[in-house]
Amino acid sequence: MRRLCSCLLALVLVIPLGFVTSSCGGKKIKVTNVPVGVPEQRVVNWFAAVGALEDATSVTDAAKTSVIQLNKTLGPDGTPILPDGSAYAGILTSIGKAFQLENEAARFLKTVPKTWDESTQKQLLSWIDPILAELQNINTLGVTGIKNPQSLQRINGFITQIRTSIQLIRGLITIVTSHELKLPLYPVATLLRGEVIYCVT
Amino acid sequence: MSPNGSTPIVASAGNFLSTLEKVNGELVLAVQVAGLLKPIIVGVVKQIKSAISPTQEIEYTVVLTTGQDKLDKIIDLTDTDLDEINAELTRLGHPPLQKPGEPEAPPEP
Repeated sequence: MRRLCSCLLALVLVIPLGFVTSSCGGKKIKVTNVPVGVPEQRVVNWFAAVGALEDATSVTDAAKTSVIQLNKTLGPDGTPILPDGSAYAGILTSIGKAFQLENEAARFLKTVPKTWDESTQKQLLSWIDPILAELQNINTLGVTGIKNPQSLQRINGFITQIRTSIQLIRGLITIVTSHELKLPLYPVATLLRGEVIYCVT
Repeated sequence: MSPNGSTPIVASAGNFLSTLEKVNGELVLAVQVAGLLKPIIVGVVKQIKSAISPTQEIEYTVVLTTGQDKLDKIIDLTDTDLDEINAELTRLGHPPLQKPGEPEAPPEP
């Protein structure tokens, strides 16, 4: 009950703060419980990555449920919207690989609590970038395998949400890589400089 | 309300954060992407330095409270999901995917 109340309170909080910080001026967030000798920003990055990974995982879970449901739902022609075959198997495999990668990334982050140094970022990239590749594969297979346009749109919506969360993690990675992404998530970058979070557009 | 309408909003924020501080209320830091508010960090408001000022400055301390439990949740959820995916792949005659943290299955003779 206490947890439920906390959740409700948190949800209620989000909206008023959006108005409060609409001017985006002078508001600051200071984060405590930072380990000795570790810059505050790095700790915030670690927490932000964990939060984004959790979001990606929960949406991947929803996508899996939806895809399996499409295999069991008949369309107007009396056959499954996503029938047994290479497209269904391929989509399942890509979703499964995304789960593997999310699982491995979570296991890794557990071993480096509140740490966001170069080594952490490099390691995390080895799981993050392949997830983006699997999402692209799901997108391609969905176009050929899902017969209902609304259902396809729904699956693509999940893909967009997962990609957004993964790119958010990607945006926290500051080491230079050969294919660094330019992200439209400037509010997060602002947050990570320890100033404001709700300057969102 | 002031002419530009900003002061009451800030005052509300100050009261709001003060209340949260008193009850150990959680503060969700989120980003809005494509119309969806995505919560990223959850923390507890512990201190407000200056809730209201002429420059509308609000400084507060957030103690981050989540992390390890979220990671455990991710691991549990993805383990369960992989079981479900593997059940479908097996039904379709495809080899199952390996679950992280488990020893690799020996090759079939």
